[in-house]
Amino acid sequence: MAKDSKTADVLVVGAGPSGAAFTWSLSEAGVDVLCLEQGDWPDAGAYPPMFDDHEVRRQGDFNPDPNVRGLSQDYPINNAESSINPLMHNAVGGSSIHWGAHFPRLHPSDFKVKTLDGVGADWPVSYVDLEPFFDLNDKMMGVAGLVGDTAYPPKSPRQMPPIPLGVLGETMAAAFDRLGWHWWPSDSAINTIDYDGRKACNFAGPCELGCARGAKATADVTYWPRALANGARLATGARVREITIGHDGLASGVVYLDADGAVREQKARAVVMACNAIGTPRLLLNSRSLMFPDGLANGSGLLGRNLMMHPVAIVTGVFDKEVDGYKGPLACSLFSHQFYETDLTRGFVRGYGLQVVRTFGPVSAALGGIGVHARAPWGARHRAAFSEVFNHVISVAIIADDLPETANRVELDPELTDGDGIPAPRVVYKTSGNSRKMLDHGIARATELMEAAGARRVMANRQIKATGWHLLGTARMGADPGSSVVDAEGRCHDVPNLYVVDGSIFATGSAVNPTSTIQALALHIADAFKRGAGNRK
Amino acid sequence: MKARKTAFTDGQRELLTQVLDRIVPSDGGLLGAGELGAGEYVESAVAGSPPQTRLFIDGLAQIAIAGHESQSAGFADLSDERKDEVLRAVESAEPEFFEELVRHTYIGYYSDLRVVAALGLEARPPHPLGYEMEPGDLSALENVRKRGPIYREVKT
Repeated sequence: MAKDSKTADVLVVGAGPSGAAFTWSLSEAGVDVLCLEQGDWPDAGAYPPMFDDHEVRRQGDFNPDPNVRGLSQDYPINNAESSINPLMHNAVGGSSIHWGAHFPRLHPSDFKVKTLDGVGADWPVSYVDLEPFFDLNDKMMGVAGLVGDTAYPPKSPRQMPPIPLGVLGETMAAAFDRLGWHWWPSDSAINTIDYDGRKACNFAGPCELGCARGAKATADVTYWPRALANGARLATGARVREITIGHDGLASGVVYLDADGAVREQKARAVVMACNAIGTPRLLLNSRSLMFPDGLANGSGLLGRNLMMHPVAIVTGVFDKEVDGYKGPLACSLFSHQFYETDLTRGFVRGYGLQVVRTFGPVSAALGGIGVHARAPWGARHRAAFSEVFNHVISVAIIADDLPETANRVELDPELTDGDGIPAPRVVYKTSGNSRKMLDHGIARATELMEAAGARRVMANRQIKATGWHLLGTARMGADPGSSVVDAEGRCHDVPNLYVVDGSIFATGSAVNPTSTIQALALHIADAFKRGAGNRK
Repeated sequence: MKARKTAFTDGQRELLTQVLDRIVPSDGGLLGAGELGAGEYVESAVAGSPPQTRLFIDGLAQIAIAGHESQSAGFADLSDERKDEVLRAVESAEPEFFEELVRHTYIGYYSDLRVVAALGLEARPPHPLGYEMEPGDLSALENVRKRGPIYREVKT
C-alpha cells in the first residue's frame, strides 16, 4: 500500500458544506489541512439547466438519490426498510450542489428539547453559543432575507434583500395574512445582488440541478476558493475506506482509494468526519479493530443510531390562474413557523414548519412528484389532466420535527458494497407516531391555507418518500459519553483526536432545513479546535 | 462496451409510434407523442440497458398480439377506442413495462422544445438567461410584526 509521506495536521473527510466551513476556518489560522473527497469538482458550465434536456437528467445522472444516479463516486444505500429515501450528492460542495438553499436557523428551543418538552435530548450547545457562528456563516455564504422575523430572536442584518415572492409567493402571503398566521420571506443562501464575486440569481428555477450562475452559495464557490487560497489542500476522487488507529487508541489517519483506484494510506494528527449522517457512521462502523470491535467511537452503542430525516408531507392547491411556479428558486419563497413551537393541545409534542415551494417544469408535471402527486393519466384524459396542473399549482411542504429514536439507524449492509467493495449502508427508518400526528395536523392546516388562497382543488400527499435531504443524528452530540458519540466541541468521546462536524451530531432534529446550523456547528467546532490546538496528539 | 443507441426493428418502431399517439394523443395544434417523434427518445432511453430493451421488445410484442386477438388486425388498423382497449389490457397484464413506457414517453414528449413552446414557455433551457420576477408586495408583513414574537424563550 502506498503511503503518503507527509503527515497532515488535520485530515477532513468530505468536501461538502460542513467540511468546507471547517477547513476554511482552520486555514485562516494557518493550520495544515488536507481534505479527501470521493467526488470531483463540479463543472458549473455543464450543469443540466444549461441544456434542453435538463428535466431528463433529473430522472437520471442528476437525480438527488444516489441509487438512481449510480455514478462511480456514489455509494448505494439499502433503503428497503426506510420510509424516507436518503438523498445526497458526492462532489466538491457535497449536497449543496443539489440543495434548495433555504437557509433557516434552528430555533433556541430546538437546543433544549428535553428540558422544555421532556422528550429527545438537550444539546450541549445553545442558540446563543452558536449565534456568532451563524452570523459568520451567513456572511461567508451570503444570505438573502429580511430582518424582523417574529419566529426568531433578532438576527444580524441579512446580506441581501429577499428573493422575490413572485405570483406564487404573493398568492400564499395573502392567504397567511387572511388567516392571521405567521409568514416571512425565506432566508436564502442565494444572491439577490452581486455578492462576494458571485452574480445575482437570474431566477432560472431548478436550483436542485446545479446553479450554473454561481448565485447559489454552494460550498465549492464560497468556502473552498478561500480555503485553498489560504493553503488548504483538497484531493478529489479520493474515497476513504477506513479510519486507522494507532497503538495509543488515537486516530492515525485514513486508508483511501485514489482517483486511479490505488489503495493509499494518509497519516494525520487529527481526523475530521464530514460525510453526512449516512456516510460518517458508515465509515466509522467500517473502521473496526481489536480496540474498537463495534466500530470506531461507538462506546455508547449509539453510532449510526437516532437517524433523523424530517418526514415531509405536501399539500398542493390547483389554481385557475397561472402561477409561474417554474420561475425562481424552487425552495425559497416564504415559510411559516406558526405551528413550530410545542402546543400540546394539538395532540403532539414539538412542531412543524410550512414551506411554500415552487414547481418543476413540464416533464415533472406529467410524471408527478413534488407538487403534482401522481403521474398524469395516459390516453384521452391526458391533455386535460396535464393542463390542469402545469403552471397552475402551488405546494406547501410540511416539515415535521423528527425526534431521535434508537431503532432508526444506519448500519453496514452485509452484502451491498460501493464500486470499490467498501460495505454500503443499510438504513432502517420508520416515521414515528408523533411525527405522523404532526404531518396530519399540518395537512389540515395547509388545506385551510390553500382554500384561503383561492385554490379550486386541494391535493395532499401524506408523506413523500424521496425527501431524505436532511440527514441527521447518527453520531449525536452530548456531554455524557454513555448517551452520545461526540462532545460539545465535536470530539468523539472515545477517540479524542477524531471529530465529527456534519449533521450526524444533531442531538434532535428540529423542523427546519439544517445546513445553516450544520455549518455554524462546524465553525464552532473549528473555533474550539483552534483554541485547543497543540494540546492534541 | 459502448451503450447502444438503437433497440428496435423498423416494424417495432412503427408500432411504437402508433402506441405513443395513444399515450399522448394529438390535440388540435399539438401533435401526438408518436407523430412528434418521442419514440426516438424512448428508443434511445431503453437502448442503453439490455433489461429495458428486453422489457420493451416483449411489451411491444404483447401489444401486437393483443391487437390481433382483439380484431385479427394490426394495431395500426384498429380504431382509437379499440387501440385504447388493447393498451389497457396490456397495462393490466404487464404493468412494469407499461409504466416505463408511459414514463419514457412523457419525458421524451415534454422535453421536446416544440412542446415546451406550445405550452407558452420560452423554448430554451433555464440558464443562462433565467427569467424576470417582480419584487412582490411585502406590506402585509406589518401585520405579522404587530402580532409580536412567536418563538419560545429559552433561559440560558
